[in-house]
Amino acid sequence: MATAYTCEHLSTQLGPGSPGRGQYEMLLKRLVYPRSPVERVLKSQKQKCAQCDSTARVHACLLCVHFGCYGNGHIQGHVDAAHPAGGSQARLSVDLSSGQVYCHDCSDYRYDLSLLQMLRQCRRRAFKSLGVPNFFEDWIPSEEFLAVLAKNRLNLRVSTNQLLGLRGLVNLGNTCFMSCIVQALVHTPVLRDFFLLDPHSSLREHPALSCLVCEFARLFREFYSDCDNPFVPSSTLHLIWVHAHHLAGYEQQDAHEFLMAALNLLHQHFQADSGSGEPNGCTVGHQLQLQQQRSPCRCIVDQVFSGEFQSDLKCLGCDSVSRTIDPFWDISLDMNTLTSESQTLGCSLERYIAPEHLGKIRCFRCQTVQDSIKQLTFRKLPVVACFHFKRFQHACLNHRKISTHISFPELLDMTPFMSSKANHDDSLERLGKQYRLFCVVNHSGSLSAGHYTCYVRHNCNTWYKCDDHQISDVPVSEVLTSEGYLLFYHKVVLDYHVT
Amino acid sequence: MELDEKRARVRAQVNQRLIQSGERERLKELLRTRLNECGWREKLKQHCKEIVRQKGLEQITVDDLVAEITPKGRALVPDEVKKELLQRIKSFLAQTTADEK
Repeated sequence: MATAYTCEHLSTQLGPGSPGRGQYEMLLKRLVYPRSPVERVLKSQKQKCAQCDSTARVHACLLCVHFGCYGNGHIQGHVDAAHPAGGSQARLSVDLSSGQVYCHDCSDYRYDLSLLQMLRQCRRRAFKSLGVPNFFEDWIPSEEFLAVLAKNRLNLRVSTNQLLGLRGLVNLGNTCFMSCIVQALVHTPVLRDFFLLDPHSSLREHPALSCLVCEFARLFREFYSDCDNPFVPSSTLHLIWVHAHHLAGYEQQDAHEFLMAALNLLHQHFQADSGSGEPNGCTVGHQLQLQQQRSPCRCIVDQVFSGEFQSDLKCLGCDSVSRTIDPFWDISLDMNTLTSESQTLGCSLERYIAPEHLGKIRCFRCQTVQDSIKQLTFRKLPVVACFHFKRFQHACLNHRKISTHISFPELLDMTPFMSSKANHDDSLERLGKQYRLFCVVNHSGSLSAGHYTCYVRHNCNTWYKCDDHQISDVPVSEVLTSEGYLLFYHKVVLDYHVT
Repeated sequence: MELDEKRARVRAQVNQRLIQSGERERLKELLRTRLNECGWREKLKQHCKEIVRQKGLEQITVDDLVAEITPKGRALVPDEVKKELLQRIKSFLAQTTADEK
């Protein structure tokens, strides 16, 4: 270790085998890193400046029993007064919050490798007694590691404006509805991180895998490989046909329906994994029915897309409110058919949460038939909010598409649409409700002859148009003025899961 | 003055409780983990290296480093980390007062 780190005062006073070292060790075990509740109580009582009662960075004098704080100069003052310079003993004190040694002759902290190792050991034992299994330690590379590093000095720099992650998708015959959704999912930041890191492994070597999770992992790997010519998603399409019959065939399908089917399949295949006994393995391929009731689990689909609606039914007779909470993966918004003017996402959401007068309903509480009001609000927000505009009307024989333009923002604040109005002024609370647009799926043309394209946000700030195999960069203004069928927003701030 | 004294007393009590139960160490460890995960530690480490390069290895003291990096370090703590720790402390206090009752 370099000599700038240590000093002769430290090495003589706290040298190996010296009484000073024994004293230091005792301080470490009792007051810096206590291991028992009794010792912790003692620490909470002793760790206080004798002069000002401060508990911040309190030092223990190594020459006598005295505690003084560092910030207000009290430990320095004590040592200079009670143990003036020039004496035979080194003037040292220990910071009780970190265990580091301060040399009052050098006026700085000084370090010694063997003392640091002692400190590390005491810290480990203290964490063990607290029941903290994984704690942070500075990594000290071994000699072996240093030797390997010295031999391999090649550095790779990944620049920020790379096109890695962008890839076209070949249209296999009206499959643009699938291409757009694949683009959307591949560009969902949290999903990308999950699939690129996921140790989901396939137990089956057979190419005809029927696990959609494996297929998606493969898709992500393909998109993030060095290859930039368009990818042919034939195996993805085949898997979807096998598992979701209603989407099979070469006709144009609804992109939203495809999204829901894909999410449902991923969710099921994750659940099947967790039930098969192998935590990350595939199930043996078999067809799974589309479930009507989804039970929320800890799979990535639920973690990313799952939010909660709160539906309140209020009886106007007795004022009682009956509440139900329903999970959702997407938010389907009605188009305002009464006007042909341009609409906004904000207005659509306001209409969504507006109280609705229902007819006479029998109230369970007061047992009379009364007028009631129903209101839908957002109780829990998902990490990714997918808004779906119901542009396709299938009423009897009247099939039409509503092409009214919808304007939507790049940044969305969901605060006004929440169930709970509490904490609206708390800026930290509001943070969790801010969203940023990252994908827009558009449908052009009519119901019978249409084409899907999408815009994706790549590398934080650049937008690209994905038209099957053609990828082109576009200004964000083009994205925000497009018609808007499916909008994908991502939370700006991710909350840690409260354990 | 009275309010300040009361605040100081409450702070001291909370601190004592945190140390006695060992929760303070757990919270410190959680904070350390989060700050590491978001790259805060790396950023400040780079900053420290810069300061040492400027001032010179022989002359630099811990006090110099602390004075230089404290404002930057405080400003760089992400809001979600503050939020999480605040929640943890709140639930710890709620739990301990409940236990006492």
